[in-house]
Amino acid sequence: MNIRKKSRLQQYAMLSPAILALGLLFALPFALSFWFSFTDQHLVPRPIPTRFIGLRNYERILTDDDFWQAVTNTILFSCLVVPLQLVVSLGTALILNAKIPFRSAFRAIAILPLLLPMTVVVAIWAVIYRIPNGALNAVYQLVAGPGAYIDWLGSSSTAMVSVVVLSAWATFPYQMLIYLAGLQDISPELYEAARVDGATPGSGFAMSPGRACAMSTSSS
Amino acid sequence: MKLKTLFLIGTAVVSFSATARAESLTVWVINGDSEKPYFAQLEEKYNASQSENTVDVVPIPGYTQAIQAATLSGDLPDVMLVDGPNMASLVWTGTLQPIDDLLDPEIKKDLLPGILAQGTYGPDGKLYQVGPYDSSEVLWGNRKLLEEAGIEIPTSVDDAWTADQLEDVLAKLKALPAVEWPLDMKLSDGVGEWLTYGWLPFLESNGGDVIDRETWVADGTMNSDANVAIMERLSDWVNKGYIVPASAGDNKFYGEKTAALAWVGNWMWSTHEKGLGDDLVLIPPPSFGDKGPVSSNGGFGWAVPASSTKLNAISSFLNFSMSREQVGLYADITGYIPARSSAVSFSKLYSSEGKGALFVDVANCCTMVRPVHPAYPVITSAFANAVDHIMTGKADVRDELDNAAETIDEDIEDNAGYPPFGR
Repeated sequence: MNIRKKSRLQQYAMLSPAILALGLLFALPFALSFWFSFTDQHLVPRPIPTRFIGLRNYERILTDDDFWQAVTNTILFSCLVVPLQLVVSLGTALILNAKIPFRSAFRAIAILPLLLPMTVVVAIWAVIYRIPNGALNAVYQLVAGPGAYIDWLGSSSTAMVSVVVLSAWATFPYQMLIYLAGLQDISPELYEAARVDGATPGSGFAMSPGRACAMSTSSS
Repeated sequence: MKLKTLFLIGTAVVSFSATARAESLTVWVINGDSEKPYFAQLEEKYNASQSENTVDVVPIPGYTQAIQAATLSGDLPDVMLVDGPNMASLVWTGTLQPIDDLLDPEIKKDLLPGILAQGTYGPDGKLYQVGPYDSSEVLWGNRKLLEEAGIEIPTSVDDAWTADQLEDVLAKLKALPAVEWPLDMKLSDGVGEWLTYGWLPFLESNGGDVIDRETWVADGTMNSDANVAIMERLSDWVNKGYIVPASAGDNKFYGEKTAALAWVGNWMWSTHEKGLGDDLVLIPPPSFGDKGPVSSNGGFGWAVPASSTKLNAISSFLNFSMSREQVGLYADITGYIPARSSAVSFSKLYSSEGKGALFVDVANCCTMVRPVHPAYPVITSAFANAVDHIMTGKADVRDELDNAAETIDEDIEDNAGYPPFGR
């Protein structure tokens, strides 16, 4: 056996545990799921045999209004929450990267939503959205008069926006930390060079922090 | 020498048979805060009551999922609590074994009718589950607000409000400045078993149901004209602002006291009593039709997995946990109704002079067992979704009930009619 052939065998031998694990944990379940989708297989055991039912499962799901509602809601939610998260986290990162008083304290406060368990986040926002006398409705009543309220989570016109705001608030610190790390990675000499070249704050951002942020956005 | 050998063999045989009799049981129970003290004392008292067996009572978080996972992996305990409506599904899949021979006949005779009906599997007529408690629901009232609105409060099931009378009461209460929404129907609990437990009685009171219990077909029953009319009326109450919305939270009746009535089961006893004190009044379930007032019943109960083999020890544990003393203790600690008729008189809360006597009256006269059928998990999920859409989303009532019926019938068809139930 020549050295090259031996080396290739060694490579396959070293890869085999990972390939085996991927096959067992990903490829096999995926293939089984695909096969089961053409049968009436149930999760729990049952005393009747599993039958081949062709495309019936697909026919049912594709004609189910609830399924299409869920698809629409998921797309809408993603289209709203991702840009909002990115804008809020970039803005916060830029502020916290600037030399402002109590910067460390503000940084600690800004990442608090990330440290809270989701149950606590939901409890906080339940108080904010509560009807008729939650925090947000108290503000609304200053404008619309006493007794007026909006059912933020119960009305079909406001429920999606309410959930988007909650979700963006709960998770924006994660993206913010990535942006902040990207911004702090920029050498001060780059800012100085941009100033010497006559860059305005806007064009300066596009040249150096903007590029860092573009890279951070793709990683986040 | 011979004598010594015989003695040694005899000693070995005796100790071996003693060891063979001594069994160690694992019992799975729900992880509720109100039930934990009860289960702790049950383990302690059973282990102290005899020297042959020991029991380890384990509260399990995420109970239903844990049972499903253990069923698949073959790791079920010796005894476990099973939610009554899911019993038939577990029997059909071969997960449970009958317990008629394990339970003292005297205990079986003493069970409330609803408890016996809940635990009996139709096709073979055998008992598979026995609950230490029963449940029922009533209208809870705030006496101060009801009197302020000039409302006469019914005291027995014979003079329960009709749907028209209840609507009139709600209109009067709505007019009070202190009342925001008159009736809390616990929509804040979200989509779950409560929506079936809480709403099915209104349909049954009017002669309706979620499925035909002879043919096991939902179409024509779930979406009957009678059911549509009842659900449209309830939807109308939401639109009129009579019902506390889901997003308003749980405490409008007992906390903020801006709701004058609440429709919920006996498990809210201590919370309501703490919140309203002497203003708390129990009102019979409303009558929506010819069948009069109706309440759901049942709950968790003891069941034995088919894989369990330590039957003598299991029988001993079941009879101990269903003893009059233990059933009474369950009621006193958790606030549920004792499952044995003879234990009711021992309960401070539920005896005829007790504050909760109306619950026992309702449990005896007016409870209706939820369908005992293997398709129940799908039946309840489909109906609860329909109720949620109707009560919170201004959905078309007939469309929602049609969809629920279709979902249930499809599931029954997918399972070949759940033989031997048949179609």
